[in-house]
Amino acid sequence: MVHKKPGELALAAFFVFLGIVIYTSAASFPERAQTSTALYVRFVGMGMAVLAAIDFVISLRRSSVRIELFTNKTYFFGLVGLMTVYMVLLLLNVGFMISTIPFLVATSLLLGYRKWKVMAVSFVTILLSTYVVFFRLLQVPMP
Amino acid sequence: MEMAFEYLSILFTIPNLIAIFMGTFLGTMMGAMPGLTGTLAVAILIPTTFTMDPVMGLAMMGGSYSGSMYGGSIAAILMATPGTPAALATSFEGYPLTRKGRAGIALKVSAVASFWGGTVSAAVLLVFAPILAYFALNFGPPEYFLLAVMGLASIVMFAKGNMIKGLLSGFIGLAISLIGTDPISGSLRYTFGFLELYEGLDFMAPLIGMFSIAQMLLLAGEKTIVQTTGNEKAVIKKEKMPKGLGKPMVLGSLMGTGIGILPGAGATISAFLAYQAQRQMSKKKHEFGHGSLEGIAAAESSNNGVTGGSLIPLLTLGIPGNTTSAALMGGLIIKGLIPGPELFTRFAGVTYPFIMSLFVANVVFLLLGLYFAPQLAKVSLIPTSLLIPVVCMFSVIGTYAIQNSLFDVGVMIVFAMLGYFLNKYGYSLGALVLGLILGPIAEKGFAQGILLGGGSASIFFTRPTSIVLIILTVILLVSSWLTAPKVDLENGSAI
Repeated sequence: MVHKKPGELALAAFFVFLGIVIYTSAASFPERAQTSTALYVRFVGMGMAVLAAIDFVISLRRSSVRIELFTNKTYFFGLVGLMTVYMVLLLLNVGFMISTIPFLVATSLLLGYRKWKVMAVSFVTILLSTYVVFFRLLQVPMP
Repeated sequence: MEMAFEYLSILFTIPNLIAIFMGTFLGTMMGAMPGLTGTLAVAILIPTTFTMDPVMGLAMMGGSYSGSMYGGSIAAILMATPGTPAALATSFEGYPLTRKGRAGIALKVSAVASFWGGTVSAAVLLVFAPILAYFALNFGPPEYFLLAVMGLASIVMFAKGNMIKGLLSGFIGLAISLIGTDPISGSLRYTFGFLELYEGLDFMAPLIGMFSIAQMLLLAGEKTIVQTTGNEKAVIKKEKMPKGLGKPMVLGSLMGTGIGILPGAGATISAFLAYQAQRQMSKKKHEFGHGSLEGIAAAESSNNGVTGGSLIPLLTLGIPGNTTSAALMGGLIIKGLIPGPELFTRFAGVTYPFIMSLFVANVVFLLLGLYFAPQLAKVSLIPTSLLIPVVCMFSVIGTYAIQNSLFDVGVMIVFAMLGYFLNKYGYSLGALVLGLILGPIAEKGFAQGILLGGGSASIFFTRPTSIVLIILTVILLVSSWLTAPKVDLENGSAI
C-alpha cells in the first residue's frame, strides 16, 4: 500500500509541464500552419496544462488515501519483463513459434500454473489453430 | 414487389447462403480478436472473391463486415479487451457483468442488440439510401469538428466523481494524437526521429495495451476473471433476456444508422453517443459503470447500426463512411460496380441482393451469438494463469497485424504500463482513448474549417448544421453534469 497523493501530484505536475511544452512548441510550426493546426495544438496544450494545474491544486488540498499499487509485484514486473523479452525475441527474427512457446510456458509458470499436461495440450492446440487459421488460411501477417 | 421477389431469388441460393455464413463467421472471429478489425476481415476476403459471382462475393464481404462489428463485443465483455474500437463502450458495462458471473446474459444482450442495430440500418439502407446520401453532403469540415467535439463531450460521463481527471485524460489522448504529420503543412511533429511515427500513432496499439495488457496485469494473481467464492461454475447464470431493452436498442440503432451515414464519423463515436444518451434517459442510472445491460444494448445496436448507415454514402455517392466500407468499395470496384446512382438502376440485380444479404448476415451472427454465448461465457472461468499468456499472445499478434510492425508491439507494452498506473491514480482510460481516436478528426475539421472561414472561427457558429450540433453538445454536457452519479470525491476516479 502506498500513499496516493505524492503520485497524483507528480503526475499532475508532469502534465502541466507537458501542456506548456506542447503550447510553446506550436510557435515553431511552419508559417502556413500558424492560423490552423498550430491554433489547435495550442488549444490542446493549454487545455492540458490548465486542467492538470487544477488537478494539482485539488490533489494538494485533499487528504491522502492509501492505494494498492501492485496486487503482486512479482507477477506485475515478471509479466512486463516476459512481454519485453518476447518482443525482443520477435525483433531478433527468432521465429513466431520458437518465441511464443517459451513465452506461454514461462508466463504460466510465473503465475503459478503447474499442470503440465493441461498446459501442453492447451498451448499446442491454440498455437497450431492460430497458425493454421490466421497465418495459413487467412494470411494474417504474423510477427 | 415482383422485383423484390426476384432479388430474393437471386440471393437465396445455397452457395450464396454458405458464402454469407462463412463471411459472417470469419468476421465475428476476426472482430473478437483485439487488433483484427472489420477492415482487415473485408480486405482479407477481397482476393478470395475474385472468382465468385458478384452477389456471392459482396454478400460474403458484407457478412464479414457485420460479423466483425458484433464480434468486437465478445472480447470486450469477457476480458475488457475491445476486439474493435467501437466495442470500447461495451466493455465498460460488459466486463463488470463478467466479473459478477453474468457474462452469458451480457453476450446474449450484445448479440440481440447488434442484430437489431444491423437490421434497422439495413432496412434504412434498402429504403432510404438515395435520399439520405444528400444529408451527408451537408457535412463540411466545421461540422466534422463539432461532431468530434460532441463525441469528446461524452468524456464528461466518464468523469465519475472526478470531472477534472476525466477531462484531463481526454486531453492527454488529444495530445498523443498530435504525434505524426501536420495535416495542413505536412511537417513532422513530436516524432523524435522515429520513422514509424511519421503517419501518427495508430490508436489500436495503445488501445490494446491499455485495455488488454493492463487488464491482464490487474488480473495477475486472481484465480479467475469471475470474482467469487465457493462454487464458481454456479455463478455462470443462465438468464432470460430481460425486458425493457427495446428503447435502448431503438435509440442505438437509429443513432448508429444516422451517424454511420456521415463519412469518417464511424462506429466508435456512434457507440459512445448512444451509450451516453441512454445513460441520460435511463431510470437505472446507478447501474451504469457497474454492469448495465441497457448500456450494452445501446452501444452494440449503435455500432452495428453503422454498418448499413456507412454503406449509404458508399453506394449512392462513392464516399466510404469508414475504413471498412472503403475496403468494401475496393471489392465493388473489382467487380466492375462503380458506386453511384447506376448501382440502383443498371446494377440493381446485384446491389439489392447485396443489401438483402446484410439481413441474412445479421441472423447468422445472432444465432452464432445466442448459441455460443453460454460456451463463450466459460472463458471467464479459465484460470488466469492459463488465460493471461494466451491473451498476451493474441494481443501481440493483433497489434503486429495492424501495420506489420513490432514497433507497435513496443508501443502496446509502453501504453499497458502507462494505462495501469494512470488507472491506479484515477485517470480515465476510456476518455484517453476517445481523445486519441477523435483527435485527428477534430484537428482536421478545425484546421480545414478555419481555412474555409478565411481565418475566422465564426464558421463554426453560423452554419445551420453547426448550430444544431452545438445545441446538441450543450444539451449533452448539461444533462451529463446534472445527472452525474454522486460518488465519494475523495477516492472517485473516472471509468
